Amino acid sequence: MKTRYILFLIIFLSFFFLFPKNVHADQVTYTIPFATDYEGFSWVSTSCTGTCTQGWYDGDGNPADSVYAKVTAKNKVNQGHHKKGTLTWENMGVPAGATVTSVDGKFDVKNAQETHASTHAIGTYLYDSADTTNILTGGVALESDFNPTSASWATRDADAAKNVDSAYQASNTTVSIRIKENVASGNNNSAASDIRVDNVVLVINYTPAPSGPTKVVFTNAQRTLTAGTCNGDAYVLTIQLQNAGSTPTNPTGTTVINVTSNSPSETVYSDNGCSSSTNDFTFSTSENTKNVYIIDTRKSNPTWTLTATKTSGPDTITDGTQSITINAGNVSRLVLTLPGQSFTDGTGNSGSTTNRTAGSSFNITSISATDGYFNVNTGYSGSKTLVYSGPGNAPDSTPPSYTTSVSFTSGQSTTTLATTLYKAETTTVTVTDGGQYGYASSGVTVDPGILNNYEVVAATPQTAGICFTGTNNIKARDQWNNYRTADTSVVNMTTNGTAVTFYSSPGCSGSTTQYTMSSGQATMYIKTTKKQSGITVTATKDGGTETGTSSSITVNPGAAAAILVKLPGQSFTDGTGISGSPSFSGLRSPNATAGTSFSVDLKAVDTNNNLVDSGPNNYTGTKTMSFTDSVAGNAPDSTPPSFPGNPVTFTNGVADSLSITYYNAATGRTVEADDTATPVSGTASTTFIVQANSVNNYGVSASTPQTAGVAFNVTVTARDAWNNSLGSLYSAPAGTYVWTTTAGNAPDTTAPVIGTLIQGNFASGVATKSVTLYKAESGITFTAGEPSPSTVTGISGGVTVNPGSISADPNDSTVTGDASVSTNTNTTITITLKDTWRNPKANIPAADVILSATSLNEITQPSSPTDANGITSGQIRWSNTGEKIVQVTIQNSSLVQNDGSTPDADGKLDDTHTITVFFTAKVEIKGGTELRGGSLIGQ
Amino acid sequence: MMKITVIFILAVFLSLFIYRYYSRTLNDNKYIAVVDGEGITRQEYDKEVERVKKFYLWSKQDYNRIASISAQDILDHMIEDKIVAVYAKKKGIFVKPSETQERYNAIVGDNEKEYLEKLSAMYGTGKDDFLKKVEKDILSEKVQKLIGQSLKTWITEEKMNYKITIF
Repeated sequence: MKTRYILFLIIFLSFFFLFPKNVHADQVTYTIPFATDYEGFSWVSTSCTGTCTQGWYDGDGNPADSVYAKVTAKNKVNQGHHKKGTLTWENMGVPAGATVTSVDGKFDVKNAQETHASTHAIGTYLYDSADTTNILTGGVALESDFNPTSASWATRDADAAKNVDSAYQASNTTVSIRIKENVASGNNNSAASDIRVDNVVLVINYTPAPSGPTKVVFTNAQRTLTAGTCNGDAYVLTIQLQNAGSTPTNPTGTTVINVTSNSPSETVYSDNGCSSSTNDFTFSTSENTKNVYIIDTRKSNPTWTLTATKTSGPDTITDGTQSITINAGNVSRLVLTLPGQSFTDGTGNSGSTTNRTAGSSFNITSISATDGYFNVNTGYSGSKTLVYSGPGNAPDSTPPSYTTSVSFTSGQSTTTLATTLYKAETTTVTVTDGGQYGYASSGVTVDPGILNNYEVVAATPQTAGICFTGTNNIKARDQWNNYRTADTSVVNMTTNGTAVTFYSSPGCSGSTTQYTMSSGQATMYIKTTKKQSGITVTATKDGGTETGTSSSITVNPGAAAAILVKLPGQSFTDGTGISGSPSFSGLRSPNATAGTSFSVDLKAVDTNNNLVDSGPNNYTGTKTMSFTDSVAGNAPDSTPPSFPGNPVTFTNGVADSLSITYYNAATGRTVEADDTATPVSGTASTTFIVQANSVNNYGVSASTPQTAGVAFNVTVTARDAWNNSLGSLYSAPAGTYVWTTTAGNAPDTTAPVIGTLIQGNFASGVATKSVTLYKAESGITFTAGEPSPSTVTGISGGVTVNPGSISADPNDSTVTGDASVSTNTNTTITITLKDTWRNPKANIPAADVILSATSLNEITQPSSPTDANGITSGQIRWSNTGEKIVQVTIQNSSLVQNDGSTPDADGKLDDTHTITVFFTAKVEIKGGTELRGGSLIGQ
Repeated sequence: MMKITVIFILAVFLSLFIYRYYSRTLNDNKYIAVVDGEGITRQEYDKEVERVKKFYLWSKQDYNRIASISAQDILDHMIEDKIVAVYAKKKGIFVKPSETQERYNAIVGDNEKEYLEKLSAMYGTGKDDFLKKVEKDILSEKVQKLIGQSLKTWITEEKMNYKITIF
């Protein structure tokens, strides 16, 4: 049992010694031999009082060269140090990560010259990188100052190792090394001292970093992969951390290894499905192996290099590399390289395609059979029949032209790929082999070819008088009808239409004959006043032959703007209107005849007199027409004109053969038809004349009242059935005319005088008869008639004949009364007034009749006008007796002599009344009046 | 001495006035328009009018109805062409004879004789006139390319910047 324990202890101890701890003290010696140069040192002088020289000494050293400081002249010094301030511990051999604990120093020194005795101080020191702070503890100098005396080389190693201040222990700390030389000369004018130093040694004690891996290694066999394919577990890449002995070694701290490739197209993953991309693989302290997965889309030529590099971690790890072969994948693309481009295996096309011109042949630069990453598959060879797609047919249907039989060698086409594209477009070209491998090319712009023709688009239908609506433009095109969007040409405009005008501005303003293409096109503004169909407009390049014509355009009439009336004998021309003079048929042809119907045609026209017979404005169907604006008039017998009844039916703008009858014979007649519902105003027809129809009756007329004994005219007018005067149209027949009156004889028996009506009395259809009637009466008529057997006759209206003027003649007007009267007694005087033909003068105002008599009297004048018998009366009384004469004076009213017309000279009735005045029976005589002779009557 | 000087100065001014008056009259007779100092001669204008007139007659148009409109259009376009030419000159844009010839060849193709005969019938012009037209077209296209916008739109705006005199 004890033996077992001992054996176990031995084994344990053996393990302890065989596998020592990673952490242990170590040492490195850093020697500065100055064998070939100054080794980066420089001289820092602190004092120089004589002639000083110093630096690297070529030709003396131990064994080769050295550094020195020298001074000459009496009692002079050359003090300073050789300094190097760019060294890290690691530069001096300390492993990275190690901790420097202490440093021991030594150097070789030689007193090369000392002509006269003096004292020198030679030592070595360590300062920080700024050369200001001593980094040692337990002593300032690495090797304290020493006064060399030997002319031979001797090693100075007096001081023990000095500890390094903890602030400067890291292996990457930069320190400054000083080789101090304070050299002095002796007390003699020729004194000189020269001290040389060589083989400055730093024995650096350090504690190395814990031991870990020193390298990273790809442990897998070299892989050959396919571009774009994840290597997966079958071809996994493995990186492993190993120590110097190639033993898998865990890192001493978390360590990141970055895996890259010199391929420009690799992606590194951490999973076997290549879904989690990363270049960094992190190792914990308990792992030393990682699987690396990769997809590289770029084929190698011949290989790419994978590199694993430590990017973080405490251990010093050298990179690991491995070559990897990436082969192109299966052909999946036929890559077209167009003019202006170049193809690079693995990259594809570069450069911009240059524009092509429609119809111009060019060569596709190449076709490359590649995998999905533009890696050329060199196995694709032989003659292939290819199919192209992408570019379209030209607008005129011309298809693109390609080279379809193509030979390939090592994945690259070798045939000249002549191509012609005809459609102006920006497109891509795709070529396939049996429907496979299609891959769209870069975009290529096909510019249109040179100007060849114009596309002229004019919308149809249009409306007369209105600027064309819709799309009306011109586009420049090449031979294949591609639009030339940069065209600047000028075109001359022509048309086969009538009254078509081109304009330069919207709304048809500014007439023009030319358009200039702007961006290859121009907008046309067109208007025509003429309704028409089948017209076209043509654009022809000014100075060239290139041309283009629109399709057929229909110009419909505008909206009905007027109703024209075509009278008999007139013409209507579509687009012009009514022309010619009316010519009616019938009795009064070419004039219209009263009472005789005639036909008119109504034409609905637009503002340009186009018959509105088509298109959306077609004026058709039943319309409500008014003829009230016609100049027609009622006949003299009040018969109104006869117009068509409503509704009036229009067919394509026309309502023909409408019957109208005018009854009023007059000039300046018109027919006007207004559509009151739509509405459309009518235009008055040409004026025309309506003449009287044939004679039908006589119009007999005389003004009334008339005056007895005064002649007046009675007219006899030949008239038609509607009492229109025939005027000169009347031809009086020969024969005996009827001419009578109902007038009676005057009271004095004087008969009416009317004469006879004869043919010759008629002039222009009118006969005027002067007649004189003597009897004051009313309702007198005159009758005229054509000679028998004509039935043309006429009776005048009633004529009233008033009495003539008061006749002064005593046979006509009288003054009557009693033969005698007593004094102072009123006696009535009766005045009877008559005209010459003893027609009583009624209604003579009382004031016009003035009584007068022999004096002494008192007269009561008539107080009422004459009655129907011409009688009025007054009263007179006399205060004296005797024979008295009563007279009547007529004032205001006309008083004539017996001829009926000559004014009476004295204004008195010729008739007087004589009356005798007597005393009344009761005469009282007072006073001394003496009565003589005579007798008293009536007492 | 003073008097002589005054008379001399007056004589100079009078001479300048007379010269300007008569030279102006001559210019007015020679040119129909001037664009930035570049004249359009009446002879050129009349030739254009006659050319276009022939075209419209060839096209069986009622030329009398459009004669005045056409004449104005022609002058407008000649002025616009002159603006393009002046601008091109300023910018150093030129059309090489080879460019004109190349375009000409492309237009007439293999039917030069027939093409020129048709031109003659339409406009009464010959090959030289047509080559000038072709050259003008190419120049317009080059200017349009330089200005980077529709030439017509540009001309409309550019007219404001040119001194245009129409006699």
